[in-house]
Amino acid sequence: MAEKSNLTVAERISLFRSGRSSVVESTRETLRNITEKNPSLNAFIEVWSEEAIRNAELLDRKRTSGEPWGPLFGVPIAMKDNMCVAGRICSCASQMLANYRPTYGATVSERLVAADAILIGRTNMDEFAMGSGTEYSIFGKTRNPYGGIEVDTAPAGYSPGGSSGGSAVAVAAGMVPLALGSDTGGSIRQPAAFCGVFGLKPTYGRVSRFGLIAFGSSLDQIGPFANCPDDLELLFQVIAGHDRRDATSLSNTSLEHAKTKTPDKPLSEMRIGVIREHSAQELSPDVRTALEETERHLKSAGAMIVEVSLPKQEHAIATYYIIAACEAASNLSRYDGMHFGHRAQRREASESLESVIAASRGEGFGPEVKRRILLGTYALSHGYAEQYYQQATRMRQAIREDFAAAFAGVDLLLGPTTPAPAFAIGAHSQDPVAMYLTDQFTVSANLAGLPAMSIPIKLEPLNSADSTLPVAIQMHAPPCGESRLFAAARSLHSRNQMIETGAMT
Amino acid sequence: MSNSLAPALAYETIVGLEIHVQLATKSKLFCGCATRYGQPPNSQTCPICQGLPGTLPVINQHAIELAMDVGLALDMELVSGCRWDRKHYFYPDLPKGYQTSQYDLPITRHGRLEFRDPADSEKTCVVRINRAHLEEDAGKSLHGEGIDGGTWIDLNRTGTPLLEVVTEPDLRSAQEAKAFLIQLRTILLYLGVSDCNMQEGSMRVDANVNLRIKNETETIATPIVEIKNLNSFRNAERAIEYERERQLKHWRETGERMGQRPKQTRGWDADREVTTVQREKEEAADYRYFPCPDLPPVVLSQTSIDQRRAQLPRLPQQWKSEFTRTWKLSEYDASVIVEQGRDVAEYFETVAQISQDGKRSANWITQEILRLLNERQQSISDFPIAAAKLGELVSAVSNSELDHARAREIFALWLTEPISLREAKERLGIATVSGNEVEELVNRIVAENQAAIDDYRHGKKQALGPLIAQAKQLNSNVSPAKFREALLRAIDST
Repeated sequence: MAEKSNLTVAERISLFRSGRSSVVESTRETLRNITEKNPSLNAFIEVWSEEAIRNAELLDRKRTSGEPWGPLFGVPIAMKDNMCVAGRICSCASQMLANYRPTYGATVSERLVAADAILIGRTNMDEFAMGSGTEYSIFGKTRNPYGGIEVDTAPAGYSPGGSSGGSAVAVAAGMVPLALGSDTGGSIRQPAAFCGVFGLKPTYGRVSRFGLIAFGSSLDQIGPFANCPDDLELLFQVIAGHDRRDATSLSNTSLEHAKTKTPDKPLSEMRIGVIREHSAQELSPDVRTALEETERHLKSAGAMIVEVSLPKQEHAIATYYIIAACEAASNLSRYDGMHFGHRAQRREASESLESVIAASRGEGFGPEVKRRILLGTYALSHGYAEQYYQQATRMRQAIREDFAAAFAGVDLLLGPTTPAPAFAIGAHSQDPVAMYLTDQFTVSANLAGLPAMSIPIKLEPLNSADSTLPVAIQMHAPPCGESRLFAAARSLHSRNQMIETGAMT
Repeated sequence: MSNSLAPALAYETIVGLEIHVQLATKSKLFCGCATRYGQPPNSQTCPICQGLPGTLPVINQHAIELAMDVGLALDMELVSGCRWDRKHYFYPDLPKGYQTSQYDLPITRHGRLEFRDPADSEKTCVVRINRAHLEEDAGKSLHGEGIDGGTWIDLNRTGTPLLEVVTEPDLRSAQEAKAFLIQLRTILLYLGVSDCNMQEGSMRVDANVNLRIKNETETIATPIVEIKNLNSFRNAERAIEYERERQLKHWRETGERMGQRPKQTRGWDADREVTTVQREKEEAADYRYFPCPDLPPVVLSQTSIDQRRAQLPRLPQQWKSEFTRTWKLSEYDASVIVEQGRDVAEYFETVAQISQDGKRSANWITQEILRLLNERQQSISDFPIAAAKLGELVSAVSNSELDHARAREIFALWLTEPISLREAKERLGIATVSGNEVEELVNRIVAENQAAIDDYRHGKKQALGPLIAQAKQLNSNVSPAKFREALLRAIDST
């Protein structure tokens, strides 16, 4: 099931170069693959087959015309359903936007097209990116390609994580080599960990948010999913860069400045800090072993491993859920059914404006979105804002300072992505807080604006069945230190490949 | 209106104003859409000002600069690191569900504005300015104009940059409020930050009014009333005046004090000349202000502040003192010209510089041009006679090359003919009369009018008048002044 297309992006493009495959052939193969796998996994909400073939034809013409090729020439890419592509429905997996067709495209969509990529379709997600299981979607649940179905423990299979579960699964199942997700509190890294793929949340401001339907504006970042670090980096390079349409996008000057403070280093010269507060948490034995194996490998690669402390970590989840909810409540104010999105039928002509707005929102939003709007509205209300929002803002600053202090002594931080591998679908559906806790190691990177990556380490066999679940670790880098993450990921990736091929055990 | 039986009360009217000024930027505050008035509905909108999901605001730097100019002109503190806040409320003409404004850190604060006391022109009043902050305008709801009498929404105005100037409650009468507003508008016009066109809504005024009533033992404040959307200075004055009387009467009837009822919002009904209740809220609306995460704080570097200060246009007060000092205008004439706005002041200055005769330049402008502009409903920039040409004309009069009557003929011709001074003189047969020609004319008049000259010598000064008229008849180009001068010389020397 989880069999992957082994071709890297570079290998695909070389097939086009050598003429062994046309882009149309390759695209048809991708579409066939999706058609075959999607019904059981539900990764894609919509596949843009016709347009994909049309674009493939254009690229094939370009192959013979001698025009320069973009870095993602002919590569199919899946988009999480919260990034606008002009003229395509973008629903955020919500009733509210079920028929919403943006009139403009996100900066990332434009950059992908300019890089000659083929946008292949939109993927399932938790409604408005609020969730950690790709369960809160009007399009139904997405299933993890790993783990299979276990009658007793996982009757519906395993969760792909969320909220970018559809994109993670699309890559994990080999439907596409690359996908984009968005990460507000772990929504790329947690599903990447659950699905055994690489997932990067870039430094806040490195990828333009223009055209990403906002959840928590000060936390949201778009990032890539891939099966290997090279592909991950390639996609990251295409989407990253200053965008004058996003005022929070990093200027080239700021980027240069940050990079001089975070110079590239070979792994052998790095000091890597293990986050004490994360490893001290209750972790599943698989995750703990993965961490230990990672440490051993990094040491053998010449890196120095030290323990570091981030004392404010225990407050990260509370801080995150207040700030994210406040921003969400504000960002989602625009869905009043007046200009776009779902509008409730008026029961009578005399019905007040207020009740039409209330009914539209009541019908358009699902339970998790409502929960967070209520939480955020409460936390910003007069008399409570100081106690909640202001307090959370101060704690966020303290968490940032924690990281800055830690990075004064180390080049990267190591810890788990999640406390345990994928949970069974539905395991947390009655307990939102248990679901929130699966984000406990990922939210800090968003609060501090840091780049962080989930790196798959191994496949752990499940006790009861002939199947496995992926186990991952997470690394954090200082601002704009993505290349350090790629370096560490490459090293771990080649180790994993050696294990897979039996060259190492 | 007032009850004549009631004892005279000592009380003060307390007025504070909030003035929304639409800034004269070409594009909106957070997107590139134009801000022209009167365009077809929704023709000046884009995904950003329509509030479409996923769009982001980017600040219009020009709006920041204009706000800085106002801050500098009103002696305000410019706040580097000022923030943007979201003010939340649901309304169909507010597509994002929040208005991006500035709440606790406005771009400028703590200034002052002086103006002449309307009750005593010798005195000046000072009003403290609490703050001036930037915010985006909402759209327009066109009630009753939609299908089946429903509401249509026009988002052309959405996102237009506004500067909200908030005064301290330092004004003490409706007349003071009006005088303050006129002064503020004059300054804004000179700065060029807004067209201040109240009819088109580029300047809108809200007034907070209450009374402080003094009796033997205490000072009692009446509940504050906010009068919304006053769209002319006259309406502002009348609404405040009405509110003063209404509150006094209401207090006499009920004794109601501040705090005993919630703040009321009233509107001015210009037809009936009354204020009417618009809304009375039991508790203040909770806008849940919070810093906009999409916009970084605005950094105003000292360099940029110094640059704006250096580029700041001359303010009305500076023009006035320049006119009285350099061009020896009376305070009155200087005020008349300056209050016409920067274009007229600049026009005057050019005329005066060319003619080197400020007084005469001012007279031409205040007596001829302003009247004509008013008659023709024209602005000075459309006036057919350019300042440089009028300067030349005034100069000719000052140097006695032309008399006033002939100058007026040229002026009249210039209103329709775009010709030079020389051409105009030729057309009207005006030639410069040489000294010899004047002498000959004097000799002839003296010879033919001995009786009149004798009369003059015997003290009958007015005897010269007919002689000058005769000379004009003989040669219409002769300057009466020059002729008179030569004639007197001739009389004295004989």
